[in-house]
Amino acid sequence: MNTLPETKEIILEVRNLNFFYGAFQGLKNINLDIQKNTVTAFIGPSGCGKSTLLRTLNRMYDLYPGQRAEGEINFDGENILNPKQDLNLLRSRVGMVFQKPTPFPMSIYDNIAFGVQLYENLSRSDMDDRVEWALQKAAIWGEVKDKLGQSGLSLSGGQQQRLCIARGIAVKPAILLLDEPTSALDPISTGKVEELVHTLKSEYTVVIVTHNMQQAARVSDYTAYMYLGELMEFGETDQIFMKPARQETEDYITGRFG
Amino acid sequence: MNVSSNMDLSIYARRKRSNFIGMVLSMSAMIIGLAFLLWILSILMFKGFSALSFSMLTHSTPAPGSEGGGLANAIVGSLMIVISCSFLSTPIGVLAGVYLSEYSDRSKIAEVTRFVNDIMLSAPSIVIGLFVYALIVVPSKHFSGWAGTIALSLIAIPVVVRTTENMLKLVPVSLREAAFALGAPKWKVSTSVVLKAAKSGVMTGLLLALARVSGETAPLLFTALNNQFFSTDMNKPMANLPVVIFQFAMSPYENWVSLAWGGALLITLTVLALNIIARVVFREKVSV
Amino acid sequence: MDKHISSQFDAELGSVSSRVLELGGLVESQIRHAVYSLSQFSIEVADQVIATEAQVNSMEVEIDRDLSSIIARRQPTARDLRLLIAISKMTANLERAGDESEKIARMVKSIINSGNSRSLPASELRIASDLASGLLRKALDAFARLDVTEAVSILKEDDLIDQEFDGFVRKLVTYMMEDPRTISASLDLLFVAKAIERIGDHSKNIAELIIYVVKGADVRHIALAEVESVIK
Repeated sequence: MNTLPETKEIILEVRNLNFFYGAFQGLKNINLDIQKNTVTAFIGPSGCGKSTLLRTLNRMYDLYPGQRAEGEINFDGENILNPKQDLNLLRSRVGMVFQKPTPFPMSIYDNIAFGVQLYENLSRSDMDDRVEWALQKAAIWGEVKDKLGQSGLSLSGGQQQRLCIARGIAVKPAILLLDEPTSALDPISTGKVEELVHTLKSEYTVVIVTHNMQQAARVSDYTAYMYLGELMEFGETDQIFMKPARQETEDYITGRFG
Repeated sequence: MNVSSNMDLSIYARRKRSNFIGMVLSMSAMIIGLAFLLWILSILMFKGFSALSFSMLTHSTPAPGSEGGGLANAIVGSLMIVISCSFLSTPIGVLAGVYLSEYSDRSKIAEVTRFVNDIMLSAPSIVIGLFVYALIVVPSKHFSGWAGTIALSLIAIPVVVRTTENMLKLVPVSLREAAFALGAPKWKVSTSVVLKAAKSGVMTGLLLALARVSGETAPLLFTALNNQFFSTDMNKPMANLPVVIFQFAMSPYENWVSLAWGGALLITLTVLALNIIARVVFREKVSV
Repeated sequence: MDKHISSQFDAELGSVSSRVLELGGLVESQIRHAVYSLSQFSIEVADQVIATEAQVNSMEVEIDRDLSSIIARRQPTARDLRLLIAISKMTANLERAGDESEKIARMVKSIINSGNSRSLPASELRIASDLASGLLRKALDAFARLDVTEAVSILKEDDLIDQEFDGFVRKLVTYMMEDPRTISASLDLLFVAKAIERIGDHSKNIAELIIYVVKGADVRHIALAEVESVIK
């Protein structure tokens, strides 16, 4: 049952990462590698730091004063925690989709074009192609192809979230970060998004945070179990869910968490 | 009605009574408030309606003692002043609101700006009028429509800043984060996404600011003054409805008084129309 | 059958299903070879059967590992869950059937080496052994199609094998009484017959599993007459 890629290539390295919300330490000495073209899941109870860790990968925490990170996160040969790092450029290469679907207040077409226009100068027909490609990849093209001019807000919740995913992949990032992308969705929309994540794997690297560990089991190749800001265990999903190395991991997964 | 066995009936009855009293009191208060409002509107309609006619729109204000006349110059003058005011206060107010909400939020400058803005919001309009009088009218040695515009803008801008900032703050953080996550620079996030999302709220704020200033009299008294004749020259004193009403309402001439009531009705209807437009046209689209 | 939203889940189920049918095919050929080695008294064929055993065992381990992985990661319910449980049990049944074939091969070698082979009524076993391997073939086919009607007929056919076995035991007893020198070889042959009967039982178990997957009814330990009413 091995769906891992043929060759192992590390695309993101986290080394000795510590994170602080003011005086409170949210992440303690995190070390892990994200492999290219795989899905990595972060699981753990509330407050364990999984969202915090995800948000360091595209320096989203930078928007908020008082939050700071120490250590190294190496992407493409550079440490992205360097103060000189161009954040906008980083975020165009490491995209993020959030828990709550957030379509922009513009047409479906413009929603997708927004991100692309920031960094690429495409002709009208090239942009049309890119929009169609992104919506196809997000498995929503059939539902919206006749109403690209309508507002993104006119779609249902599940469709809005797939629109946000289409928006994220339209700019062709190297890595796609998903922060609990299906928490706000019904089971069928959730299933569609999970299937989508599986098809994205061949071209992108996906990191997903989920509080639903069964989702992590279904969707990911590697799983990281976190607790109270520490990385307790990191390994292949098969192994973590069948025979975890640490007792703490097994307790969490089997629901013996006290 | 079936009551559960451990409910104390006297406490329940007492609560029902105080609920009833509270409701009666609040309804009476509402009726009193509404009654006065309806009274004002009906008097306006009654007295001003007779003055409404085609000639009111075509003739200028009559000289003392002369018959007939209309409010054409005052209407046009008010329109010109208010429209120029909107061109001046919209960019300044909206951009200031964007700055306060998106760029500086908790900095010292923002705190001070907000404080000053709030003072300006409640500044007496006559003080603003005097200020502009001293600053512009005296050095230029004449009253003008531009001075009037500036005075009204000084009243409108704080309103626009306040409502813009509040409407922008209502836009959820998640929308901003989503835009940043695509690698968009801050100014683009603020204008193309956040401002757009708050569009109807901001427009409403603008319209309400204009509705407010279209009825201000004191500032115009010191700046645009009035003009008996029809004029579109903003460099000279400009006729406007509030000052005309002020002048005509207490005069002994019947046609003047009647015109004053007509003008008052006109202003009221304009404010009403602006409010309705703000509510109906710029209503938030309900998302599915 | 309808597809899951997750195509990956469909692929995993399909993969493990084909694997178990592959195992079934391997065991079935093992049985046929065992029976052939008996009828032809061939040591080479018997050795072949014994050699296949290692492959059967490793496939059993592999399939069970895959099943655990699917259950851990997919949390299957309803029909999917029954299918996976059925495949797990079917794998066990097939592996045992393979064990029985290996026993048959070992017995055959022992009989040949004892030198008494020609005089034994080995050919009498022919009918039962053909029935047994044919029944396994049918069971595998029925599982591939999840055919409940076929499964019920398999349950009935197993009764035939049991009857044949009883008949053969009686024959053997008369043989042994006639010529006590053949007792040792006859006992070996009895074990062979028992192994064949057991193979028939394993096919019956597989048929019961088919009914479990499709109808959700556990018809083990229920008399045949009742089974038909249970699955209506």
